[in-house]
Amino acid sequence: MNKKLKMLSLPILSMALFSCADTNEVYPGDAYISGNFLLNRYNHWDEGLKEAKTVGSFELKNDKASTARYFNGSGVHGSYRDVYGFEQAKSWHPESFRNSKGGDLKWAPDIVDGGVGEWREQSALYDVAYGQTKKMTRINSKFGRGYLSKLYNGQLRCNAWSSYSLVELDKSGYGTIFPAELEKAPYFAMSVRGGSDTPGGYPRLTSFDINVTFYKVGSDNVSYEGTTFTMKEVFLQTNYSAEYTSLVGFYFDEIGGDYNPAGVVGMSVTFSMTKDFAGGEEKTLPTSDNFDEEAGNYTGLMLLEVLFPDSTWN
Amino acid sequence: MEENKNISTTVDKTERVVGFLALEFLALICFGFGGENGLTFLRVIGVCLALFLYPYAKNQFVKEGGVRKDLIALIPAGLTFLSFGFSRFWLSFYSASWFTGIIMCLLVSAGLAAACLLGYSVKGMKGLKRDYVFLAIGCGLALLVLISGLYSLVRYGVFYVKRFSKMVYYFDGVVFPVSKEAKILDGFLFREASLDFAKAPAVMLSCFGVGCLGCNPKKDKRFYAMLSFGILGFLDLILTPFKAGILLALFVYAYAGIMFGLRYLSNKGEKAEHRVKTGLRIAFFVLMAFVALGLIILVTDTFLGESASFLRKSSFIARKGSDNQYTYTRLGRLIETIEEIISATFFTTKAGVRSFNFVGFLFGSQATYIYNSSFAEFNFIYQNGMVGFSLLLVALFYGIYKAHHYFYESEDEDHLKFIVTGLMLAMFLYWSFLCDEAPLRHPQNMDEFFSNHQSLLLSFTRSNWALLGAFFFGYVYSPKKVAAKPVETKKEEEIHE
Repeated sequence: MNKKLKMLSLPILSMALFSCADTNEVYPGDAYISGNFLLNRYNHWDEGLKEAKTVGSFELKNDKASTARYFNGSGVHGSYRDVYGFEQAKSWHPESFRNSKGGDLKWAPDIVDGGVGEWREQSALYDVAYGQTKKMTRINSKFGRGYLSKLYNGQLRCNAWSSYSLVELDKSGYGTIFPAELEKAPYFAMSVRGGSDTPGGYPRLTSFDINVTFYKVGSDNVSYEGTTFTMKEVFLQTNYSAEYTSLVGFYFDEIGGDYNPAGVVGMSVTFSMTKDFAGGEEKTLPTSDNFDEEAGNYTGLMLLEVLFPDSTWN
Repeated sequence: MEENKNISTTVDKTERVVGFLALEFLALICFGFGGENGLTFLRVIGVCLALFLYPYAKNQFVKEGGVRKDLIALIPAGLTFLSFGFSRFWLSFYSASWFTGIIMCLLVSAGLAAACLLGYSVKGMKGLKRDYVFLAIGCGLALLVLISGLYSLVRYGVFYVKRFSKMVYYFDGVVFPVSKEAKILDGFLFREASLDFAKAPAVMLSCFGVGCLGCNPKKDKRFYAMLSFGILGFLDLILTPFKAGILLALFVYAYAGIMFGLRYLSNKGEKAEHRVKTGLRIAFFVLMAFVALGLIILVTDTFLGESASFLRKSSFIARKGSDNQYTYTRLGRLIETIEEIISATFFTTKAGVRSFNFVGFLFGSQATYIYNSSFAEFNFIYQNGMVGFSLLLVALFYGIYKAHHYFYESEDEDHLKFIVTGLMLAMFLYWSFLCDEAPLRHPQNMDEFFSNHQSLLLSFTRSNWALLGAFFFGYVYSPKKVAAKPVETKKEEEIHE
């Protein structure tokens, strides 16, 4: 009897001690939300991604006439005041931005807001808001857990949530393995803006070269193989308004080559700032996109959402 | 003769079946079977059972010498059940469908009355041993604690509240503190709920151990059943660990210890017994006076408004900073919430002018905004108004009075007396200090049939705990001071004859 009891209690005890699925990824309460811009940087790379072999690369331009193109926000990038929303993508592919009744999905409101950092049921905005209709957690609930669930919850804008709403990146970027494997996706998109610790704000236009790499499991079933998509000269507003985010991304059949996203298990984002004050503003400050080097001020990429709209996952 | 015997056998069989169903009902209530819809279904079952049990209750009432006056004394309790179900708040809550709303409110009231009647009539059932009643309650709670406790351990690990005290996890992009939640079995789904809400079954189960004080471990095997329940409850609380729950359970054990000591003193002679009873009577009236005084102070302070409030100027509640602004202490924040609740119920503000809301004062708020203080009684004011609250207070004190008589006069075995009064005290304290009526952290799939919730508000009045409370009220109730001898003893005597 005693032996049986021990045999029974062992698996239960081991489950209790070693499973802890809800505490696998925990953070100190003040992680990434401090008042210090540099401390809020997220640059975690999941194991194996930095060592991945590059098997392909594509360079994309923000030009409708180009065969390898990406979309960016309103499509008007003359001033920081013009850079927001999803009008360019919508004008190129209106069918992707319609709801089930044929009406237009909205850029805002993007969330049912219960106050900063308060969770609310968002289903009221399904088929109304673009973010809530296309978000990853709606496609696969496994995306709902972990720090990066910020990028999968349909919140496209800040909504005065400040650091609670976004993932702050410097040029070292981040890399993550998805909780599922991509089967099919027409396009990739992300909601981004620039962000900087420049005193007094200095609203401006900043241009970035953004590299998005998708990883598949290599032929050895152990390592990863990455294909990089470089979006050249992405114009984003910096420090004008946290609500001015832009939908940036590309369709997989508009990249100027063949790429099948089936089998993607992870992605990474890195970038380099090509020009701060890119709108020809007179004010100039020496800012750096490398938060590890000594610099007067820093500018980074504020990532609010990552989307594979209308995708299917295994 | 043969015919009489047949009738008696049929009655016995019916009683056994009804008794068994009553036990099932209790166990399922404690287990929280089927979530919110399951509870509605159980209320219907309870009402049907009560109809069957009515003759037993009537017999028991007559046997205990109950008269019309005793029935009149029960009117406030009956009205309390009615006010639990019906109020302006709840009728507004269901305003989308009046018919459904009225049925739901009616079911809540009828369910409570049925549970109370069930508690009273089980005492009069020959075929139902009273130990089985508490075994059913204990088993229902133990199964719930075991399932949700094990799942919590698997998901969070042992001592997670301590280990992850300042840690958060992300869900759907939002931060949740690990140490403030636990898993609950909600229907047939696991959900994340606040610790205060999730650990109530474990606290109640841990209090089963007080029954050990009325049992001899060498002679009575029931001692080990109560001990096992108590240990399981405490294990769940300690492995979490849930400090407030452990303290509350220890307080109940201290109460049981004191009652045990007082009984020992009472047995030392009539004089000592008289002193103990007088002391308890004084304590009862002092408690009543404190509650009344506290209420008068709170209501007066709310009436005075923020600018003239005297409580807010007290150093216990608010401290003036160097910037001349008041910051609330922990107690102050509690009082502020209570005053907000009272204010939202008693007053309406239009264009900055505050005016007394007489209907709100009597029958509760019409708004379905959730005020979630840790005191169920004050949430009750908001949801049910002063009429309901006054009735609740009367029923509470009447319950304490009857529980006291039950403890001293009933011929139930000692371990049962400790369990019943211990659990009643635990329930009263728990929902007076650790109540959480919006406990779900990030509820998904709210439309699942057995885990269905119409809103995030899980009010005490609509919970399985209110049903259990009504059952206990019925159980300790007796129209006279000296309860009748337990039926099973009589049966034995009859056999000997």
